[in-house]
Amino acid sequence: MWSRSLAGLLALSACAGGGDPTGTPVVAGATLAVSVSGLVPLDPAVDGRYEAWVVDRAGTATSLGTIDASGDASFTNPAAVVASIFITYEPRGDTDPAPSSHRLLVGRFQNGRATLSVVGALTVNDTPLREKPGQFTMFSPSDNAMHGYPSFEESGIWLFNMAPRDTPQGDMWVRLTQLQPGWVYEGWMVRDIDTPNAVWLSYGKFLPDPTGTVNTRDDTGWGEFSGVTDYLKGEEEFPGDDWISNPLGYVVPGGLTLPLNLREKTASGASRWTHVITVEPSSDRGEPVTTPRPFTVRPYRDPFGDGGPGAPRSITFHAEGVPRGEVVAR
Amino acid sequence: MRAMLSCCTAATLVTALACSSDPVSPGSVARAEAGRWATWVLPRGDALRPPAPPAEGSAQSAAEIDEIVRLQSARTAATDSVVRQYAGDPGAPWSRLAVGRLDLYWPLLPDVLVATPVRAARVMSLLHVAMYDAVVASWDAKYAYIRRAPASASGRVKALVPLDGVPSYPSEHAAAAAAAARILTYAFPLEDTASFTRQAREAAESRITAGAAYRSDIDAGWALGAAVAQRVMDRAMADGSAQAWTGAVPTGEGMWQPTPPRRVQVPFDAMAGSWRTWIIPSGSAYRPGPPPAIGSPQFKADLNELLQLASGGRTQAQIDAARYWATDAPSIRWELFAEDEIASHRLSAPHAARARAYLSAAMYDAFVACWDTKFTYWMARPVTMDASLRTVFSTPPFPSYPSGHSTQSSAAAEVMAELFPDRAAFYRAKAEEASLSRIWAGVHYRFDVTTGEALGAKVGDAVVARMRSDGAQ
Repeated sequence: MWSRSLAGLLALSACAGGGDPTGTPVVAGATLAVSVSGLVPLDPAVDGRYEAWVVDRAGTATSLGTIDASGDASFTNPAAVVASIFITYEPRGDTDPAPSSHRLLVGRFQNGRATLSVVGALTVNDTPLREKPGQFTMFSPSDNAMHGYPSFEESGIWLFNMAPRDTPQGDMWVRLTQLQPGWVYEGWMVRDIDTPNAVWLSYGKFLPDPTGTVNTRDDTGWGEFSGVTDYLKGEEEFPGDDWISNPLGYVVPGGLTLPLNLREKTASGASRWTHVITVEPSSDRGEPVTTPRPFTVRPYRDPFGDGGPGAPRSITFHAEGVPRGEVVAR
Repeated sequence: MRAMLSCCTAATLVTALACSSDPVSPGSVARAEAGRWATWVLPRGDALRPPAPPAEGSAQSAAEIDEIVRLQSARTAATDSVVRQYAGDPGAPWSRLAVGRLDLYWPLLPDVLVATPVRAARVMSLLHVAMYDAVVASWDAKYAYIRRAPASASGRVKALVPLDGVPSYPSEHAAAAAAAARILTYAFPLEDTASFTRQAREAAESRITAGAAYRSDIDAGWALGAAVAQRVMDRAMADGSAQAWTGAVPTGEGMWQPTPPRRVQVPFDAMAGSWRTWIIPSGSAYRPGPPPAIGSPQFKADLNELLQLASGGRTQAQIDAARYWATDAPSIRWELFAEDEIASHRLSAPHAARARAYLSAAMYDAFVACWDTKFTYWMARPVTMDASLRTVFSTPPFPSYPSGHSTQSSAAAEVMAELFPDRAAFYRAKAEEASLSRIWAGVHYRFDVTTGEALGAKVGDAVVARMRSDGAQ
């Protein structure tokens, strides 16, 4: 659908103006210098690869080849006059010659340059990722039946607005930009982020409803380190997990000791735990939480902080956590 | 005496405004008659009248003036900030604190059963009734003794807040704070209850630094507030809310069943219809007739309306309104409306306390009446009658008929219209929006809403009738 529309638009423009709407045509044989920042390394055998594609006037996508995490690559344009370029994530084992549904970055050529952005690639209707989605909240529901409230609240994280009137939407639901079908949000608590010993704990994957409202549970329920054995039946209406006990004897990641204290601080008083929301390829949905692989799109990142039960914690957008780039045709 | 008091007050007021421009005098004025307004748990405003304060010029008064002078000479930006924080209406800080605590517990339902709709309304009514009786009792004593505030009695003391010509003994700020601290401790036992008392003492004693009260004013006000709160708690502990439900959910076509996704097995507050009410005779006093029969034309039409809304018929504005009214315990939105009106109309302490008490009592009584009806008929929720129905958010875990939002909002709107006639149309429109939001959300049939509105209007009428005979008109 997208290719057909684009082709139609280009044809209309060509008829109306009698010339190439891109200014400088990007013709076959031109050199395309790609520069992308913010990519994390992928192991092709385990994770898959990044791949660049050009789209010609007919809307046909042609592969340029793979891009590594440096983000820098140079290709010879194999197609006829090129309208746009996009970068995909191709899952491990994907040998299909067509691009996957995981379009990561997209850009249209204007005067021989294309700015690559996740807007319109990851997101629907060319909408940007939301700047102020709402709040995440310290809470551990899975042990309430056993221990009451408050108990081990510092061991859980849930995605709802504890102080609704402090949010733009004014209600209890977090809002996130709707994603294209190839993508899904994933929530994390990360200990010692940005260090070699960082431990990423996923609390599950989730999608907002068609209005952008996050109002359903994630794919792991309460999570397997919750205080109950039937953790998948945790019918919370919000994404989140508890890390209280280990009733089914899973391997606890990173040598952590349960119950977790997400308010834990370093010797200098800084928060050891960071809340992160990533955007993940939907093909990973349902992967075991004990084998987390945070993807390269990490737009939301906030220290957990020391606030007690009921303290609101804002989710904030960080542009540096989102890949972006540029392509220059010569 | 009255003329002298007014003269001194005017001079002091000028001084006060020169010292600080933040605190604002009340727009409404309550004089001696406020001490005679009808009370809730006290038989009369003078029932707990404290002994006379130390005489002006006495050794004790002089010592207390010395204390204020010392405190004011040691003023810092921090102490001035505290003075300003508690300079306004004495009930506002505690009302907002309670709302904040209930806001915390609302999203924790059904895991933590503190802020269910009825229980949240109950907490606010207990708090506001206690503060109201404490303020009325303090007003009775103020005009029995007519003690001038320290800043009016002594040129050595500065007024850091407006004094408004109201006698200082006993302190209404201390009375309200003490009453609030006790009630909040009772209502939120899982919290840091010591902090409630710390904050209340800080608020009360800020009036000494402000030059508005002697320590003996604070002590007398504190004792008065604590005594009133004890009476409110005694009543609360016997109001039926501690009684556990031991019944069984009835079975049969059209009867309530646990609803998705949580399928909470025990409905919230099944006994609440029998809890003691404030104004209406009982929860069953206005009980409406049964809902339309399952399969009747009205039932089919009202269920079909929800199905049509769910299949693409909802507008974004309707969805937003549904979420807005579902974000707090239903009564909390109205409590916040009242706080805004109290501030914008600059009500005096007794008038503000009265507004809060009536609004909260009306909403609590409305909920009790609504819950009586809900658990008389045990009407199934729409999502039970048609599992294909998609709601905007999860259906609350208790029977459908009538709507709690509709009942309490209708009652609240009548009280707000009586209190703030210039805003009557606005609040009646808000009540209608609150009602309709439950249809838009898909969690109530239209007949739930219309019956709830009628029931709430009856409760509202009963409350307004009491308002018109309480001596405050």
